[in-house]
Amino acid sequence: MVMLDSGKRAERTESPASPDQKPAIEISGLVKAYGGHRAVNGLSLAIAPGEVFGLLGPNGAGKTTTVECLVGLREPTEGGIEVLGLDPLRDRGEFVRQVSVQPQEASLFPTLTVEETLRLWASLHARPRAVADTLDRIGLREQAAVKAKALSGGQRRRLLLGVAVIANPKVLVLDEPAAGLDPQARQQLWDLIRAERVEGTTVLLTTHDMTEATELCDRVGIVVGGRLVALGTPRELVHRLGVAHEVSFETGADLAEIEALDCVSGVSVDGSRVTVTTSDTDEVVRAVAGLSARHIEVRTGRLEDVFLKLAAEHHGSTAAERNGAGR
Amino acid sequence: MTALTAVPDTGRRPGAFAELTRANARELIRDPRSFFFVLVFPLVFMAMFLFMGTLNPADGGGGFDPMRAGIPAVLMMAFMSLAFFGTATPLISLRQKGTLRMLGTTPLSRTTFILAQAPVRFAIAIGQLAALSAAALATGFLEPSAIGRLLVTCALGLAMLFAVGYLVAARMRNAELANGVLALAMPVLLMLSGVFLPLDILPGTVRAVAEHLPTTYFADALRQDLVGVAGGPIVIAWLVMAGVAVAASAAAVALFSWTDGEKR
Repeated sequence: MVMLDSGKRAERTESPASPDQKPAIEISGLVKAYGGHRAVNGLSLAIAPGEVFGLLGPNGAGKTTTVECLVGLREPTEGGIEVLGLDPLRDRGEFVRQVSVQPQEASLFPTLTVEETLRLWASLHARPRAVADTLDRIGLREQAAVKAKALSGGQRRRLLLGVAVIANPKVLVLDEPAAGLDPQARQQLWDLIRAERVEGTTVLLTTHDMTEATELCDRVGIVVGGRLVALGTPRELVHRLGVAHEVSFETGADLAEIEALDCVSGVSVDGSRVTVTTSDTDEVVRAVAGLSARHIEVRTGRLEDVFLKLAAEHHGSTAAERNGAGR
Repeated sequence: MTALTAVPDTGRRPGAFAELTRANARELIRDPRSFFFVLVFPLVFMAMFLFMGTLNPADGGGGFDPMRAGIPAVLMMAFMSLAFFGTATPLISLRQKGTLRMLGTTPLSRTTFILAQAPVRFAIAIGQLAALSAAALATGFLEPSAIGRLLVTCALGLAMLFAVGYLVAARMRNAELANGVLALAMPVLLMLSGVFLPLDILPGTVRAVAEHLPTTYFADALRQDLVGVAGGPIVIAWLVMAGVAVAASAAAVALFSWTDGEKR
């Protein structure tokens, strides 16, 4: 397994695509409708070359449909998609040479061994990675002679990822790559994705795992009801969307000074335990230091909070639109 | 540690066709269901006819010779099993499990994928033909001079059955349903082709339909070439089989879908 120091990942804080840099992936006004239902409803985004981008959303948000349109498995109802300047359907021949996909649900040839499977997939591409190298990347060298049907769920997902990365693609699309993996397997998978990033591969992954998105992604887009409702780095989103942070501590002192701070939006007391909701944890911690407080804990806002907030807001508005349309 | 014979970074690598052919052979031989239907099932029937031959010899069976009837019947059944249970059902199963969907996101062409199914299946068919031809030669039913004609008949019959198998597999997504339908269709087709029973005993309308089935032409040609039974013009049978093979192949390639009918 390729091991990288996750702490060394440099987070992008600015928009990754400079004005003169053509995006690796460009989706504009994508609509995919099934009958009267729009699974994807006007989604637009651009992903820079070498970026790891996370498409987040609750189940049924339209992530998988977006990915399937992106890789040419489904035809968009409206809108345009370009990957490396190629249309997934019209430029199919060149597209499949540059872009690899790990679908959410798929099984490989059940009676082929891991090594045979990788060898087969390598034969489909012009410049594949070596099978031995790929076995190391996905951490299945010890299982090289094991048939696919005998692998565990986590090993099977790693093999699926293996057949995607053995193509040595410029763009890698992963649909829920860590779904169903145990923590150790998930960590290995993250290392693999980081290794791809280091080599300059553009990665688009879908997930509803906020930790995964925060750990791996340069930027994330949150999709609710087929629409992109937020876009930015995980840190930007937490900051921009005003997700509250909390500082909690134990004290018997008067809390008037804390309550008077502009950055404090709420104070709750449970026995001797005080929890302050704030937009600026540093300022509250400085103020708390003067109260002889003990057991100070700081909980900063997380991407998960952004996600829950947006999901709740847009779920309400989507339901209202549906009701309106029904009248 | 597992010994690896890794694909080298440089130098000549096996192409997609060769690797897919190898993968198909492994799948067919390692999958118990395919193995049974393709290799064991016809042998069981051959053994049954051989056994019947010992119970009811040709001179005491009222004109019915189990071996004469059995050899073409078993060969046709073997070819049908290969085309239906050894080709169509596994393909549908691969679509159902999403494997074809993954292949559809690679540079692999549909034609290469479909053609790569053929070598191992033709090799098995040649083995089956060799075994049954040997039995027909040993019993004196097959004249050595008829072997050339028999090869043409078998090549066209196989091509026709494979093409129909591919056509069945072109779109279906449910392997269990396909297996059920094909398990019902195969004995019906064999019956209506006259390999087990003479068509004369069928009711008028059914007989009229049966006489025009492409499989009836194949069965008729097989009986003529393999066990020396008189039949219709062989060239007509060949033309019918070739026509069905071309039409079904073209339809299969046009209709074949990696996934559920959307693009690719």
